[in-house]
Amino acid sequence: MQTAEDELLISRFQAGEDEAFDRLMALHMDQVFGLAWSILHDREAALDAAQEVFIKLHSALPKFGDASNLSAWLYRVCLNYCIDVKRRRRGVECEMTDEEWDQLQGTNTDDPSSAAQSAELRSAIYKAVDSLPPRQQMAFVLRHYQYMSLKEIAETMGCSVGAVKAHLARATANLRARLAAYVDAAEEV
Amino acid sequence: MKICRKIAGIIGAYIYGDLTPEEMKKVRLHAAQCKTCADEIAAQSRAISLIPNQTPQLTDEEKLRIAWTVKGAIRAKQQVGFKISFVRIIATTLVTTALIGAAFVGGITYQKYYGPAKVKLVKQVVVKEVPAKPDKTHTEQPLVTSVPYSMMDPFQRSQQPIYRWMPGVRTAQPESNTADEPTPAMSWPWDQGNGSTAPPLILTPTPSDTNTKTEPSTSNPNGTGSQTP
Repeated sequence: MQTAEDELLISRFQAGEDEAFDRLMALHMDQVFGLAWSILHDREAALDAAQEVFIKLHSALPKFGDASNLSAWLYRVCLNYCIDVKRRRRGVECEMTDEEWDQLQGTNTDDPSSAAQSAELRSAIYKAVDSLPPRQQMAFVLRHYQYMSLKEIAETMGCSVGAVKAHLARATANLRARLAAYVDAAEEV
Repeated sequence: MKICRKIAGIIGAYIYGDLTPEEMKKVRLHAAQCKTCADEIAAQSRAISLIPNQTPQLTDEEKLRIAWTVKGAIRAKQQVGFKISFVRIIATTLVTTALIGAAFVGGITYQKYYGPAKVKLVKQVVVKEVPAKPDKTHTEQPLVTSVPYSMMDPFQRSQQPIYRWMPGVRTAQPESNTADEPTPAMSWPWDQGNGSTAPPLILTPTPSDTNTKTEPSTSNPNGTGSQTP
């Protein structure tokens, strides 16, 4: 459904209708921002990434060939941009706030001990995700946060479904190893 | 923990439930027989479950901010693009002009030093022999001309340094004209004292007549035709 609308909007933009680009932005803004956030774990950086992706989209739209593949194109550009940003700011801690974390976890920070544990777990999780190799991180993020199918992930990453399965298996094994302490604690509970 | 190789590459997809039914069944059967793999699958599932799969949502303000920032950047880019294209056109024109000029100068230089020999047009100067101007102070004028005296015009007649026999008057003697002897004043025999220099209507002698005696004309106005020199 969205693909058909994308095609229509792209053809309207190529015919000279600038408002079609606004509509395209509104349609894909949440997905692009979510993907950027899931890699960068920083709201401001994710906003910047979304802006960059849409600026690139505006440049690419006049000659955009495969209109049915706009989502994959957006995800690919966003992933590459975020990986690049991560490489540049290596060593910088993520800027996620407690409120955001609580909102995502559905927990309450009124209890101080729970809040401390939550902060520690949050830091460990994002360090573990950030430390994944880029291809494994891409596969994991697209599957875990964006709920994409293996075929869509393969299309976005430009590789085969088998390769995506392998990346995903290595990613989950690495995460399990890096979060072993928390996994064992959760098992005991 | 090490997982058996036959399911190692698909455990991630198994945890997310993305495998085909046959593959799911294969992993499930293997996990039922292999405790190590079963424990690993369970541990990985717990690790994944720790990671929240929700992403924060954009607020309306943030959506507007993204939209406005993107539009502003696009507008700025278009303006810069226009400036760059204008500068590029100017630069291209200048470079093209310089290249054409260099090629032109190079071609001329090449032709000058390495080109075929140039046919040089030389202005041919033809020296004509100009007859020397007669010396007016001392001229040797022929005594005898081929033109009969009667056929000469008055000017030619006046230039003839011949002895003229006129009744009673010797007009000019060039051979005896020296510095010691002043030339006697010339007077025309037909001069009647009225200032008229018109040539007479009488027959004039030819050079062959200088040593001959001729009968004076009857129409001589002076009436001196009977005199002999």
